[in-house]
Amino acid sequence: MIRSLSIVSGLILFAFITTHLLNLTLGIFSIELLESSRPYFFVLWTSFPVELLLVLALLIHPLLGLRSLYFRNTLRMSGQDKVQLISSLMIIPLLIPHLFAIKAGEQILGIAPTFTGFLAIMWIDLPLEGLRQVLLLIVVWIHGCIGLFTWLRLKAWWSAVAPYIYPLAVAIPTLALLGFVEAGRDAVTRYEQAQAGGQYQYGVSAQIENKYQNLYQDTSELDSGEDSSVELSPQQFAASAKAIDEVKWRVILGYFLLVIGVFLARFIRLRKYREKVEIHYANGLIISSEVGPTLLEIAIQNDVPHANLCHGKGRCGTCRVQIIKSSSTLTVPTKLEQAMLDRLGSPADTRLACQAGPGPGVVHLHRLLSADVQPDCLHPCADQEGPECPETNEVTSVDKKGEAV
Amino acid sequence: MIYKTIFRQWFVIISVVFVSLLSINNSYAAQQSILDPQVASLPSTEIEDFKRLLADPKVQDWLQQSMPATDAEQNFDQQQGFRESFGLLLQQIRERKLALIVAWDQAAQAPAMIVQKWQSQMSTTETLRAIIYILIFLFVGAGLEWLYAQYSGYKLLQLELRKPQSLKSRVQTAFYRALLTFAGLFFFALGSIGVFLSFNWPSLVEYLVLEILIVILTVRLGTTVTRFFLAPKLKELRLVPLSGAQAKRVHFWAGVMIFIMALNMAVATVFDQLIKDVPGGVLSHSALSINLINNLVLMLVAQFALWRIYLLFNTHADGSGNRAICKFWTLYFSFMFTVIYVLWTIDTPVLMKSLIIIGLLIPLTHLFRNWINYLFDQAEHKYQHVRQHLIEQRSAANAEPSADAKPSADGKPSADQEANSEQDEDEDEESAVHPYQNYRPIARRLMRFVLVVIAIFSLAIVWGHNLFALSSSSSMTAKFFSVSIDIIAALLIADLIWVWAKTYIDKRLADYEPPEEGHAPGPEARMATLLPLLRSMLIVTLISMVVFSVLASLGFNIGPLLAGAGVIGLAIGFGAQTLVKDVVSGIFYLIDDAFRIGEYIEVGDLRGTVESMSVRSLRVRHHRGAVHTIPFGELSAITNHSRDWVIMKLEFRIPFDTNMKLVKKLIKKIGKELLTNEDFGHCFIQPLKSQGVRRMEEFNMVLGVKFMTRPGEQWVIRREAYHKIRDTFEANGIGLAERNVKVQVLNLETLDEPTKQAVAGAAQNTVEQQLPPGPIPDEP
Repeated sequence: MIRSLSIVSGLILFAFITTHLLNLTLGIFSIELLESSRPYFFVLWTSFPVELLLVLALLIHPLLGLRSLYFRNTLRMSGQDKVQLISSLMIIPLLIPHLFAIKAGEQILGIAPTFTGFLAIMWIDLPLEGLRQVLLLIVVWIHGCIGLFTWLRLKAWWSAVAPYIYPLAVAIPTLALLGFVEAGRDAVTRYEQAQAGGQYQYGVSAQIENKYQNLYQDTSELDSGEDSSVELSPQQFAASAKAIDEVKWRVILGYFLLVIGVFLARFIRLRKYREKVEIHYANGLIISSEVGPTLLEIAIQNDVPHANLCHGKGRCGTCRVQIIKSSSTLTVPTKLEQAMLDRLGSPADTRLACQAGPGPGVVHLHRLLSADVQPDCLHPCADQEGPECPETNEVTSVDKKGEAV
Repeated sequence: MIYKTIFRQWFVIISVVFVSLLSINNSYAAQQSILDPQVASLPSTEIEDFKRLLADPKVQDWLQQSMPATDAEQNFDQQQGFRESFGLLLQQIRERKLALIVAWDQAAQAPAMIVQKWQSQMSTTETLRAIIYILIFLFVGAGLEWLYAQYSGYKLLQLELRKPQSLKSRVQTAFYRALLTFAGLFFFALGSIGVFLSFNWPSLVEYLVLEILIVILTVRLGTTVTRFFLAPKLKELRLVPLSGAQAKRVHFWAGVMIFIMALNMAVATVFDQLIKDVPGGVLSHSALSINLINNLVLMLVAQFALWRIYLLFNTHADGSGNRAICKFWTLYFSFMFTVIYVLWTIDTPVLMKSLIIIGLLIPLTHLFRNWINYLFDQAEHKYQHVRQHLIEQRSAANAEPSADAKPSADGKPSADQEANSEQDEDEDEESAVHPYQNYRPIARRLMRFVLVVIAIFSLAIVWGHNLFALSSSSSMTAKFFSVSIDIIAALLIADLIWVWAKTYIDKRLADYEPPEEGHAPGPEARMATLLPLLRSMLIVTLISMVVFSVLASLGFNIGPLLAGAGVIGLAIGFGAQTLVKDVVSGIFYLIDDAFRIGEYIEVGDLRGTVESMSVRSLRVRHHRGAVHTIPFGELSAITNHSRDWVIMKLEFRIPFDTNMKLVKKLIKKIGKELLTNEDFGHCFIQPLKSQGVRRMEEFNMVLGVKFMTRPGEQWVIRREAYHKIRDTFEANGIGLAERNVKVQVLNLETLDEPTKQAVAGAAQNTVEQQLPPGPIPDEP
């Protein structure tokens, strides 16, 4: 339930970002095209139920992420998981200024959220905002792609489609970034021309620029596009802008406190684990680790190759191991694990390495699947124990080893 | 075992040192190279102007006038004495000292000045935009690489999971892995450089961005290379004898050093660019102080890395000797870092680079020596392992009673190599000497040779001499340099050839087993005579050639020596013509494999068993004991009776009324009986069989019988065959034909007794006139 919720919310967010980026791609041609196509791209997302769904997803997804961070047993993980975690923590602080600029700017200050206006701000007035935005785009896209592909690669049809999807995953953000740059440079040249000609059309209007000059240094987005329909008086404008800014910083601070709190809670949860477990693999490899992480996490920490297509989410079953002998008490199989094991029709001594955490003691086990197992062989394998599924080379030695121990 | 630890220590240290040293040079190189792009990008109008100027005769005159002047100046520079150049050096150091003092004073203000200068060139907005651009092209590069990884990742994973059995496959796998990683790096470069090129940059930003790109690419390239050797996460692919923790730490510090190095280089370049336009060199000292601090940081980090690595290795080192060695090299490199930094600080690049080269040569030689040892050890270990496995399999399959001999053979391979090469008596032990073993000294020499040559060349480059123009130069140092290069090169090459030939010959000799008593020697016996001779000839030739070339490079005129040697050689050659003929034709007989020791040969009318061969002659013993000594030069056609097989044909004369079917049957039976004989039954190649009637004679038929045996066994078999056939025929009532004369007398009664006697005597005479065949030719 929680996992599928996380996936669904993530998918919604990813879909939104993809449309947004596709829109931005048009900036390569001209700002006008970018601006005029905007309503078509956003028409779906601004309708009431979808917008609500989007907001819900935006709330749920980070919270679920923090929850899984709390339940994470170790912070020493594979490179991809590290990237995923760090990018997820970076997204919110990077996103909040953008959200506030769009939503609060529109609702309170009455600034229309147009590309023209924001591009001018990001390229001329507040280049730091532009930098933040580019960073946000990159981080979000990386995070989204990792999540999406980790989920998709377990699908039966994925290996056939993947080679055509992967280029898209690179092309979309690249083109969007180029669109952002092209449109921005266009804005800059127009601005410079206008300035040379004595008018100031793009960016913040000259009047506001003069009046609120001091505000530009500490606030981020109080400004309008060319057609800023400022209904508020300049004083009110300044005051509400300042208020928005304060709220924004408070939200960011709150987020940081939340993250720190999660880490603290996790630390308290894991404090009790200080005992050692020793793992003997069937091929003779022996590693030892502190108690707490799952078998898969221990393997990754010690550079032991171990199949894990779903990155330890308990969805693929490729990490299953046969427990030959164990003097440590492994954690009781969760419902998720039991369901997966039942589906695979595994014998009783089989466990999922990504779910089973060993207690202190010695565990003798055998990795049932080779570490280079590919998603294609997963499906025949799961259904009828297909012969093309590569078993580990240790299989022959396991019997001997099993007798010996 | 000991050298492994030492080796580890060095490998690490050297990799770190190497990296750090490179960077020190770079700040210089950067200063010089910075001008080139400017030259390349001259606008076309300027080039036109220049061409026009060149066409002007006045300008040409002026150019011609100014040329000799500069030449003379250069000559003067080259020919100045030691005292002048030393004075110049001191003067240079003094100036540098002043500059350093100013730089030190300015160090505090330098950042502020540079920031100011920066801002005058680039606004904050531009800086931020530059960062955006950089982010974008890094993202694109990384994206392309990720894409590549999606397609190649499975292959890479397979490679990493493969457990290479032999050294060759280990190197291969590591190589493929590095190749795959390099391809990824290439895609990264493609993406990032592509996007970099698609933007228009302000000049300063372009330099900055380019430098950042170079830093990133350098670091990634460097770490890929260190990963190729260290494989910190994959024990199976590691090419150096380090534990996982050691490899990780070394990899980390190597990465750090590469990063700092690249960064220093980039900073120096950017600063040079920054201060280029400033009039009056206001900022030059700021740049110097920045460089000073950067390189100080580099030096300190290098020292720290050294210390960290030392700590890790020291705990792993076993034995006090290893610890001392560990300590020694750590101190050595630490000292070297410091001296190099000091030399850099006082601006004496030539001295510094020479020190680097010489200081690195010794540890590098040891390092590579140990590495080669390690690689050979690994290869041999693997070989022994496989062999042992095979033996086990074989013994398990055969389950022979000699199984008790096997464990000893199995236990020994793990022993030291020297011990192994001495255990020649057992067949198994003999083959336990690894085939690579003989290449070990050659590899070592070759490595040393290459290293020394590289060092010499780099020294020559550092000292600013063209190695190939040295001999024509007249200065003392150049002469000394060129002479020593000649001598060293001659010695090294001769040494290399000698070691190669010696190991080859020694291996062949070691492989040679003297034949057991009563057995014919194998084909390798012939070379056993020849190889020691070849070896001594080679060493004499090599020594004389080296002596000649050393003398020649020292300036002696070796023409008369050579001529004298030639004349003497000619005289001796004439005198010893036949001797030479004997030796040379002996070599060719040996190569032809015309005869071996123990074979029965026939040369002209001499025959006998080959007893021994000397360089000049062949000793053959006749089966009756006489010994013939035949010079090789006298040998012409040789008949060898001891090769492969022999056919023996026997003939029997039987009466015309013999039942041939019975004869055939009987012979067949005898053939079978002979085959089962204990003494010589196994020597038959084809059994005894009848050939039927070969021809008809006046009084009898000739029955042919033949058999094929191994050479040398035919005589005994023939004796036994005759014996059996005679006995069998007799038992079956077949008589062998005897010579008899029928005298038909028409009127017998009329003859009296004496006449009868006379007739019988005449008939007897007639028979005896037809002489029986002579004695069979002499046989052993």
